[in-house]
Amino acid sequence: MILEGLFNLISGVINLIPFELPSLPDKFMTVLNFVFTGITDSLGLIDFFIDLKFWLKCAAAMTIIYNIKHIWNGIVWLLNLIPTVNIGYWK
Amino acid sequence: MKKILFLIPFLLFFIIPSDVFADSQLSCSNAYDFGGACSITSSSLYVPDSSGIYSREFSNNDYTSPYLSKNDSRNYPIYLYSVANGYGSMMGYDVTYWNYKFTTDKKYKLVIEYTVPTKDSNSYFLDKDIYYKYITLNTVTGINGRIPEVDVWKYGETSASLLYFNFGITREEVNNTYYSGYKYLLTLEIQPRVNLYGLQFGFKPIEDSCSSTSPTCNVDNVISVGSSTAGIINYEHAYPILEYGYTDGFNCSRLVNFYEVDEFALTTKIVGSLPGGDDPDDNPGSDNTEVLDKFDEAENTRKGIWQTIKDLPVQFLNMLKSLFIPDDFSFLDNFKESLENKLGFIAEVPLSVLDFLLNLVTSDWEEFNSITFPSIDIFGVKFWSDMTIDLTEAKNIFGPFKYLTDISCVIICVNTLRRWYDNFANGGGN
Repeated sequence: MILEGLFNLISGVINLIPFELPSLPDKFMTVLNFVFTGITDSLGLIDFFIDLKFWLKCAAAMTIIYNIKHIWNGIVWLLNLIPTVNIGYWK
Repeated sequence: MKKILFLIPFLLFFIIPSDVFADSQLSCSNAYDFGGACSITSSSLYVPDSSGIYSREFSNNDYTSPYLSKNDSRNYPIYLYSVANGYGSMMGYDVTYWNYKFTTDKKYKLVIEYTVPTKDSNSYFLDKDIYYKYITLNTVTGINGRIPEVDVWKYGETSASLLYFNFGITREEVNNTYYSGYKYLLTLEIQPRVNLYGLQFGFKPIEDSCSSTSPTCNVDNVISVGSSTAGIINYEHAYPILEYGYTDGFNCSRLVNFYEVDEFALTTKIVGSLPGGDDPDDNPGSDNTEVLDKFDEAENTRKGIWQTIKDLPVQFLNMLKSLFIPDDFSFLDNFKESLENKLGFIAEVPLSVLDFLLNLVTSDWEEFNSITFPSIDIFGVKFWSDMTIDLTEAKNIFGPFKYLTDISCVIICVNTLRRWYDNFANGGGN
């Protein structure tokens, strides 16, 4: 509920912008998608040599652990949105 | 060093204990001698289970008079009377078997299993199995303030649309006249999955219960229809006072013994039609969702205060969980749409990268068995012909190599963790 409210609030603020910025040209997006597709296929090739899923999971775990302080502070920030809850941040 | 903030919602997992309805069944496979007994040879066989319910199943018999010797059953601490089994039709269903469940508080449960019949004129509202049917006789009010004891609750034969049952209540003799109950509150609870659309239930006395010559055996032949909401039918039947003249003898043909004083039939009647005809596919409103919801509601009510109190901590934790973890993440789509619409090129690239990364987690890469190099032509001259290299053998070589890379990955992770711990222990930030 809190997350949903938060995102809806941000969406509402963004929607208040009286103009709409132009989109990127289609050619640019085509190139971008081409790059992404190439990366995906290349990763498939890398998977031939290494266990890519295992590596990705390890990388995700390391990233989380390395940023545990920020994650914890984010959770505390969410909890502090509840009235009467006041938890100190990890400084 | 770049600092990446990952804000992830934490997850709370709660295991909600589910109520498991113990449904132990004993079998009586050796005797169907209802004249003598199906034999109650040992009372230890009939001890209710931990949930207070005794059930007994009979199968493969078709007795039309399916009840045990009442004289025997009355000797037992729990009331064990009717055991019925047969094949017939009940409310559009073919009855596979049924049995009774008895509880020590004299509330009886009749468990009926059905098979879905072939489609007929009534089958459109019975598109799911009915598992249970509870029929309870809640109150019996006697005349002159006397509360007769309910003794017998048994089923007789069934027909296409009628389920005959009768129940017995004690009589009381006052000045050579027997008095019995006259007001019954019958509760029929259907569980679950039955669409009650256009269905009414009623209870009526069997017409031939009493002979026309009986001067005092009054029978109300009017079909009374009860409500049929929420899968529970409460029907209060105000019956004429049964007053059996002692000196005139018993002319009621069904009044064969002390217990049987009344007999009713459960009737079903279709009083409406589905908007789309008989076909359930044409009747989106004929599904069972509403009935099931209402039944769940009624079931929750039936749990009682204690159950509610027991559920409070779980409910509180679930509420707390729902406070942080949304059930539906569709708001993220709205958020993304707002970003794309308003911020345009500013948001498109980051969102594309984010989509790419998220898809990467669930990607399932195609396994390479061969690599094909295309042909290369330069000014019409074939410089390189296309060539396919079979990688089957290479896979066998690099298969074990993956173990080595995994080990190196673990080493890198451990090293990273060690550096992180050193930094953390020294009080440094990251």
